[in-house]
This record gives sequence, C-alpha cells and structure tokens, in this order.
Amino acid sequence: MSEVVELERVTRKYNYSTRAGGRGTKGEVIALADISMTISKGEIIGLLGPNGAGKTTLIKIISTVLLPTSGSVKVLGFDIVRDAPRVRQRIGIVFGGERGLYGRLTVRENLEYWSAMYRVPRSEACKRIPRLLERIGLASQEQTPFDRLSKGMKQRVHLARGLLNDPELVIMDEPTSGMDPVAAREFRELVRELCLDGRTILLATHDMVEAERLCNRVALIDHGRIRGIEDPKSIGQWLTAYGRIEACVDDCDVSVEGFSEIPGVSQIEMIGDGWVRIHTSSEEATASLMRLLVNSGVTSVRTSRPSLEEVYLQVIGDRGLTV
Amino acid sequence: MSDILSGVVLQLRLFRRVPGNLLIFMTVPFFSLIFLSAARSHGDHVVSPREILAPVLMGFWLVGCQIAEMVVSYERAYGTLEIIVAAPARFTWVVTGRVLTVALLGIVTLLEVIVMSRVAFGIAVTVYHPTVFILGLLATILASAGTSTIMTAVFLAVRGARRYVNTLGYPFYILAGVLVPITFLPSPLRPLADPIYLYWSGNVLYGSLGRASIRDPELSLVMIVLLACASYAAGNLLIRKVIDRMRASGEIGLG
Repeated sequence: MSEVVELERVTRKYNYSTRAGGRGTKGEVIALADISMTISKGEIIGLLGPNGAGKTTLIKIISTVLLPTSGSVKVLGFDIVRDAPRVRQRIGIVFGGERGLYGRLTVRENLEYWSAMYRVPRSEACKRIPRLLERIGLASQEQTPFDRLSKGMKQRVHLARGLLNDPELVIMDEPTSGMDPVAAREFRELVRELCLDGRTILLATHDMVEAERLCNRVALIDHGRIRGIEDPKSIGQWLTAYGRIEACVDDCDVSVEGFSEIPGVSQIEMIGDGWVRIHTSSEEATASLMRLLVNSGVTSVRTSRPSLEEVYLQVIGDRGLTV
Repeated sequence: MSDILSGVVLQLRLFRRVPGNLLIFMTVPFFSLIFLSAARSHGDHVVSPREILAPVLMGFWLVGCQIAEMVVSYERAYGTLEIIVAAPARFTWVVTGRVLTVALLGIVTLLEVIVMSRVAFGIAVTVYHPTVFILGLLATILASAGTSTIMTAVFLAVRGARRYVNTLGYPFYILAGVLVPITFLPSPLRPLADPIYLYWSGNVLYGSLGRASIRDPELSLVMIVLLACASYAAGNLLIRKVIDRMRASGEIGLG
C-alpha cells in the first residue's frame, strides 16, 4: 500500500458560546472544510498556513486526538475513529516547545515512560533508547532532567520520543519553533534521515525555509481549506506560469514602461539597485523580452522563480497579525 | 498490567524528583498534634481511637484528592495528556497505577500518627483486633484509590481543579463521622454517611483500637470494598467518557 494517509471530505467544526452583557451567544466555527488529500509512503509533506488556518486541527485529527465532524480519515489503511488503537501503534507525534515531556524527569526516564505508553516491550526499549539517544546526539545527556536541556536538545528528545515505537508515520507540529538557526538545521537533517529510513512525515510549520528545504510537497492551508498542494520547487508556477526575468537596467538606454507593451508580460516591479523583475505568462513573451533586453544593451540578466514565501504571501495574503 | 506498573513507576519518580509533592504528608502530624492536644486540654486521660486515627482517615482522603488534582494538573501543564490520549496505552490504567501508589503511601500517615502519639503524648497505640484492622486498612487503601479515580475524572471535566480540592475535605469528614460520631448529626443527614467509605473505615479502624468487640465488622469491610469497586469502576467509565467528550468537542489540544 502506498497511501499512508487518506483524507476524504474531512470537516471539523467547533461549537462556541460567549456571554457578554448578560446575553449568551452560541455559534459554530468551521476549522476544516471539506479537506481531501492523500499522503504517500516516504513523503515529507508540509502543512503551511497562518495561525488559525486549521493545521493543528488537521494534525490532531490524523493523530486520533480529535474526532472529525464529518468525512473519513484513514492512516495506513485504518480508520482513525473505528481503528484508533491500531493507528496509534503506528504513528509518532513530535511537538514543538516545552510540552509533551515531564520536565523534572531525566531524558532516560521520560523515554522509558513513553516506551511503555507505546507498548514497546521493555527488553526492546532497553536497546532502542540508547540507539535513539545516540542518533540524536544526546547519549551523554540521558541522566539530565528534561527541564535543564537547551531548546534544541529538548526538541531532539521530542523527536526521540516520537520514534520510540518505530512509527511508519511521524507527525510533527512546529518542531523547530523557537530554535536557533544552527539547531534548526541539525534538526532538519535528522528529519531528512528519517525519510531515508522510509518513514512518512507530516510537518506543520510556519517556516517557509523549512518547508522549502524539507518537503516533497507543500499544502497551503487557509481558513480550513487547502488552497493547493505542490512540490515546493514548482509551487512558483502558481504565481507565474512561465518565468520571471530580472535585469539590471541602470546604465542602459531602455524604458521599463516599454516592457509592458510586450504581449504576455504580466507584471513589472523594481527590486532595487537598478534591477527590474518582469513576470511573463508565455514562452513567446519570454523570448520577445530577452530580445528586447539584448538589443537595448542590457548585459546583466538572470531568471528566478518565486520563493515559497512569495507564493504564501500571494495566496494566503499578508495579514500582519490578523488571524 | 504494564500500564498500571508504568503509572506506579511514573508516580514514584515524580515524587523523587519533585519532593514538594510529598508535602501533603506533613499535614497529618499537625492534625494529630491538634486533636491529641485538644483531648488532653479537656483533661481526657484516655484518648479515644477517633482522636488518634481521625488524622489517618483525613490523610487518606487528602492524598486521594491531591493525587487526582496532581495527575490532571501535571498532565495539562506538561502537555502530556494529549500524547497519552494518542498513545496505545490506556490512560485509565496509568491513572490506576498512580492513584494506587499514592493510596499505598497513605499508610505513611498511620506511621506518622503512631510516632506523634508516642513521642509527643506518650500514648502507645494498641490494636486489639489486628486482623480487622489490617483488612480495614487494605480496604481503605483500595477505596481511597477508587475515590481518586472518580476525582480524576471530575478534575478532567472541570478546569481549575486546584480550587475545588480544598473544599472537598471537611464536609466529608463531618458527614462520614470522621471527626465526631454521626449520631451528633441531625437524623436526616445520617444516611449521607453510607456512600462515603470513610464512615465504614472509621467503624473498623476506630473499633480495632477498642477492647470491646466491633459492631458488624464484616458489613463494614464489605461496604468499603464495594464502595472501592464502585468508585473505581465509575471513575474509569467517567474518565473514558470525559476524554471521548473532549475528543469530540475539541477541548483536548495538542499545543
């Protein structure tokens, strides 16, 4: 079986009630609306979206913590409602931040406890824990209380905990949140290694760089809906179908306004230091534009693709702090 | 069984790493000091079993409430509740292991009272009916664990458990005749003692320290065990229902 996660028309609603000025109001918030997607074996798929987009709700549902209001979710062929115990044996969960482990217990004590919670036989846990600690580079810290570890180390312990039951699917919720760049890079390296082991990884993140570097596919999620799922390398096509050409027009006899007269040029923007970025929507437009640039004596030309961040801002919108 | 054992190990490790959790055992000697001093100041040369053992029963009740509150508060604070729910182990078994450990540690309160009586007041605690006393003590441990299980469910369902813990003491001590015999209570209130294990535990434990024969010890023991089983079963069922409700309502969160 190649599909590890199958979501079919999953909807999740939350009821809420507020009391203001002596009057109570009740309502319903749709956190996820009609989500359908599949995740294949060995993929690293990123869930990208702003706060309140529905990423964590989706992760909670797949990890059996939360029930969907409607729709069906299968993990490794098991229904997450009817076969929750079987699903739980096969998945690992990795949080970001301080939560999910007992702060006063040592790293080893935490991992022993969670091995038992994942029904790993004691003899197997005795072998697996040192191996995992070695792998995450914390073998020397096994007797250190979890609270005394640095943020990056804590995150690696979370990862070890998520791998105790040798899961086929690892679910990660903002795993590098708050980590410094070096620790985050090391953590990503570990995640990449997990994928090489043949595991499937579902990663909810705010971090565009993380999504771009790690994921085979990225799902942009907003207002409870998936706005699109794409390989991060080709996701730029959502913004521009063919390409973007950047040219230094500083010392050349060329009119930037003239570019807009070429059929197929969709957008022109000045990006500083005398450079202009021209978006084209057809191959002919790109060819015409290149001819014009060369004829005008432009010698510094480069092509680029939109970054994931640009796509994100374009698709989701720049909302500042608005949720 | 392994889930229960994991709960036991976890609780013992948390006690070792967070000694502050053992503070609850500091309160019992103070209760003992107060009750025995009060008895002596009234000129009682023979102290009643109630004055000696009431702090033990209060200790059992207190640690029962505290562990329930501690389980829920810790799991919420550390964000571990959600992961346990998403793990193959059964949370109810883990809770059983944890509350049973603490209930067993309730025996420490008995030792504290014996030492306090001897050292501070020169009273040698004599058990005249040792078999009934030991059986009563074991049954009380089970009932205390059962009550903690119910309270865990209640604290899971109701946020801010800490606020309620302190209010769950004295009304029960009074209603169950821990501090004064229930014959002191108005007749309509007396039946309220029946569903509280402390009342039956008081019957056998207080009675065991007296020379006279104990009234219906078998009935009291059976009642304690029945209440233990009923509260344990109800607590487990409630915990499962509360978690199912939280999974459905979304009150349970990953972050």
